[in-house]
Formats: sequence, structure tokens, C-alpha cells
Amino acid sequence: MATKWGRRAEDQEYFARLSRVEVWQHNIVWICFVLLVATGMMSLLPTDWVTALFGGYTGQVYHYRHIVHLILAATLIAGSLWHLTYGAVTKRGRQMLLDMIPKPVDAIQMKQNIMYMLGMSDFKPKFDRFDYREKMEYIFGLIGTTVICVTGVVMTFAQFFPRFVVDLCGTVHLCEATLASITISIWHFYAIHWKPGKFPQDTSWIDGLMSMEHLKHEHPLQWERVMKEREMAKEGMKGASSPSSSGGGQHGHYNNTLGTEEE
Amino acid sequence: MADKRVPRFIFLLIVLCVMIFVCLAWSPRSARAADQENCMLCHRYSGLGCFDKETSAKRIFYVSEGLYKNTVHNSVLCTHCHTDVTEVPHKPAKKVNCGTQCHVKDPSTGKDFSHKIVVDEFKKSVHGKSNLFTFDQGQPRCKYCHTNPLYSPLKGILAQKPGCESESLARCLACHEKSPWADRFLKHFASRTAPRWDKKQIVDLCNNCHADKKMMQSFGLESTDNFKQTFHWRNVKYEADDAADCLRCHGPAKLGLSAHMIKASNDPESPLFQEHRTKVCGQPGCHEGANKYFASGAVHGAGVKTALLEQKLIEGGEDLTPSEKTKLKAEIKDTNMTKLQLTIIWAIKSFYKVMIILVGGFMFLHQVLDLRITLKERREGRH
Repeated sequence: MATKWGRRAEDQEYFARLSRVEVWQHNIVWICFVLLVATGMMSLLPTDWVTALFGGYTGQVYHYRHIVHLILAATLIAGSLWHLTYGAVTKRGRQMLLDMIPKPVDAIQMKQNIMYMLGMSDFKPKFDRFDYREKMEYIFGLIGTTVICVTGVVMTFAQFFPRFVVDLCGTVHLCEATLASITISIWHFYAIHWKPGKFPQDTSWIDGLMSMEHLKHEHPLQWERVMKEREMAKEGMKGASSPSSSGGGQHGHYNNTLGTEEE
Repeated sequence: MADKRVPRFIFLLIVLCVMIFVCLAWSPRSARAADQENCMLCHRYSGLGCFDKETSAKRIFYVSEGLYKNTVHNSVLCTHCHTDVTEVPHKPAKKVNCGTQCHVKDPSTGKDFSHKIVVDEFKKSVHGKSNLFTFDQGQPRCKYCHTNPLYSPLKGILAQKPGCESESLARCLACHEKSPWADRFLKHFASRTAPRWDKKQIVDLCNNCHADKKMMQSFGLESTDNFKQTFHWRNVKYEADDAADCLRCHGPAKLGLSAHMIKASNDPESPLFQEHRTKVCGQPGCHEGANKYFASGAVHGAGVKTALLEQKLIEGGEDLTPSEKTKLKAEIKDTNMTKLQLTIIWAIKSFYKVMIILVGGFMFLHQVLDLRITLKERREGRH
């Protein structure tokens, strides 16, 4: 069940899908991304619009636009490096990266899901912690961010590079930004905003929590592991505490492979 | 008894005379001052004009007094520029030579003022060399750029209105007694603190000819029609202070050059001659510290030059010296490299266009299907 405008339902049970660190990393990246697109795409606006919007202040507006764009880019690079470091040095981060690696089963599930959506099959694949849609987005995001950052750095320090390299980077930077903006608006925005049951937003970006019901529907394999683990905990076969707690708010360290929750 | 009343027509005549006198007395002094030679006797009529015998072009001889008094030449008498007009009515006047010495005194030297220095500089430039092309072929003359507009409006955050603020004028009038004089000089100085043309206007002015592929081909030049795809143009378009318009590279004021001193890029005196390019690219406010690799390559244009150079090489044949041939071959190699580079950029753009259509299209269809199935599941209570 979706929550309305970020309010958590009292009678719902939640699962910590993202840790606080991951929530912060995501927030840094999305805020920077949106503002970078806005400040970057300003350089494609038709002159008439610009004149109508800013009048005699156009020069000043574009001067500060450039500075803001550079500051945001530096923040995005820092945020991305933080994420990569987190993925390399922490146990949870490493597990997340491992879970994000595309596997042959993802291609099979993608085909099965498309067949199901087309009504050509009644079989709906059961997704694990990350489904093929999330993996695609993450991998494309990783590649896109790298391309955008590298080309942006070259453009910022253009005087030290051959002219052709600068022109090439300018073209790639713009094209990659356009591709990223279009795919994010179609793919990610639908999944977290427009999808029935999630409108107006999936609030896990705020606290990292996902309702157990939602988890059961979207990531059934992970849900099954969590439930099994709970049963085992109840039976006293394992001494670990439950993976999530009612009412939310506890960001446990969930190990996807072993299905254990570590505080 | 005789009627002693003033006849009606005499009364009307007196009233008319009074009105004419009042109108003349109240007319702006400066406008009348500019027309000491009484040229406006004829040139005030808006229909004054003719069709040129040779070109059939329409020529207008009407002069708007109101506009003229607001131009930079408002204190110059007509015959100071139209020196061949010595009688009224006069024969067809020759084109004005802007290098003529007029009777206005240059306040910096006290000598008679003249644009001769600028005209001489211009004659040495690529646009002024008469052996290259004639006016009929598109050679620009002074008036092509200097349309002699009204005093440029002041720009900036605090002064958006044309002209000068009354407070500024009041400060001048604290010492200078004559208001029209102070107003004229204040406007002159204020308007000269910034270029008369803004950067966009400069690009459009140059592109009037240089973006014309056919015209440029006839001179063996590349067209600049793709300048508006460059980052330089984006900066110009959005009025960035340090934006590189045509003059920033071809006649950089920061390197002591001007629009009147533009040279062909293969002229050793040109700022864009290969050996000088790092200075041009590395100007303050541009790509400071630019190295020779950055300063190489074409900023705009990759059209006809290779073909033209190859044609020149073939047509030159045996008449060309070995060094000329080597130079031409090197230039052809450079332009071919530019063409290759532009092809690579075009290929990348095309790749991304295809990617946007394929990836974006796939994602859109996928999400539409997902929306459809989700709605169906919700209707059936499965979601």
C-alpha cells in the first residue's frame, strides 16, 4: 500500500530497504541531477524565451547559471565517489553492488514479464531484491554519470585539451544529458511517482522504508526470505532480531543473500 | 457711415504670420544649427528620391531633422562630408569619403577631426583591400557596419532606459554652461564605453555575408553557417560578458586590435595565424593558459575549403613553386582532418539520436504496458 504524502500508516509493517547512508546518497544524486539538468538545459532555450524570461538580466542570470552548474557538478562527483567508496569498503555496500550485477535470470525475467504484460502469458516472474528494471537503471546511471562527469571536467578545463577533444566532449555531454533526462523521466518517474498505487510518490527516498505488502508484491523472493527468516527467528533457530519492525524507523542492515538483519 | 473694421482676410493674414513666427521661434535651436546651409529646404521632403540609372536601386534623399540632430554627426555641416556640393541646386553628389578632414576640432589635439586613421587601417584589412573584391561583389564599406544609429542606449541593471540619467547631466552642467553641448558629450562618452553593437548583432552582421555558402565559395572561403552550433555562440546568445563573438578572435580589442584591422587567417599579421592562436584563445576572460593543441583546429566551418584548395592545386599545376605546393598539400591535410573530426562528431550525435529513440521508445512502451497490467490487477484486486 502506498502512503499519502510521506505519512506512514500506523497499522502497516515496514521493511528497511535503504539505509540512512543510502538515502542520503540517493538524495544528493537526484537533487544534483535535477538541478544540473535544469541549469544545463537552460543553454538550449530559444533566445526569445530567454529574453522574455530574464530581460536585461540575461547576462547575469547565465553567468550565475554557469557557476551553479559547476558547484552542482562537483557535488555530484563527490556524491558518486562517496557511493563507490561505500560500495567498496562496507559490507552492506558490497552486497548491494553484488545484487546489482545483471545475471542471465534477469534477461529471462524481463522476457517473462513483457509476455505477462502483453497478456501472452499468465506467469508473472518473481523478482528478487533488485529486478531487471532497477538493475538497468542503476547500470545506465553509473555509465551515464561517469560519461557526464568526465566530459564535464574536460569542458571545464578545456584550455589544456586539444580542440577536437573539447568539441567531442561537448557533444557527448549534451547528448548523454538529453538521453539521461528522457530515460529518467520515463523509467524512474513512472516507477516511483506515476505508477498506480505509488502516486504521488514512493516515500522510501525519505526514510528508506518499504511496506511489507509492497515488498511482497514487487520483490516476492526477498519477501519470502524475510518471512522465512522471521519464522526461523521465532523458532529460536537463529538469535538475530527481526529484519524489520512495525511502524518503521529502524534501518537495519539487511543481508540479502543470507536473509539476515544486522543492526 | 464707413465700416472701420479690419478686412477679414487681413486679419487672417496677420494671425497666420504670427503663428509662423511663433513656430519658427519655438523650433529646436540645435536642429536649425545643423542646417546652416539650408539643405533642408529640399531634403526635408520625404518624397525626395530617385531610381539609380545603373542599378535601378531606389535612392532616398530625405533627411529627418529630428533623427539627424540625435546622431553622432549632428554638429557637422552637410558640406563637411559632401565636399563636392558647392551650389544649390547641386549635381548628383559623390559617395562620401569617411577619411575626409572635417571642420570639427578634435578636442584631444585641437586639430581638424578626421576618420582618416581608421580608414587607413581598414584599407590594410582583408575587407578593405580593393584588389580582392569590389563593393559590388560584397566588399563592406563604412556604412555597412556604421549605420550611424541614434546614441546607443545605456545598459545595465540600474539604467534600462535609453539615454543618460538627468543626474549625470546635472553633474556635467555644474561646470559646463551649455546644456546641449554637455548632453551631446555625455551621450558620446557613455555610448562609447561599450561597443555600439552587441555581440549577437556582431555575429549576425558578419554572418550576413560569411554564412552565405555561395558567396564565400566565390572568395575561396568557408562559410560560418555552423558557428551557431558552437559553445561560443551559446555564450553570445545568452549575453555572457566574456562571450566570444567574431571580433573577440578576429580583431581582439584586448590584444590591441579592432574590427577595422581584421586580416585573413593565413596572413602572418592575423591574430588567428597559427603561431598567434594561443594568445587569442588565452586572452583574459577566455581560455587562459590555452596550449597549442587547444588552439589548433577549426572553430567553425568545414565546407568547401578542401575542394577549393584541391582545385587550386590542380589549376596551379606547374606554375606553383614546390614550397607553394607543399603548403597547399599541408592545408588540404589539415582541412581533411577537420572534415574527419566533424564526421566523428556527426556519428556520435547520430548514435545518440538512435539511442534516444530506441531506449526511450522501449522504456515508454514498457511503462505503458506496466500501467495497463497494474490497472488491470488493481481492478481484479490482485494489487
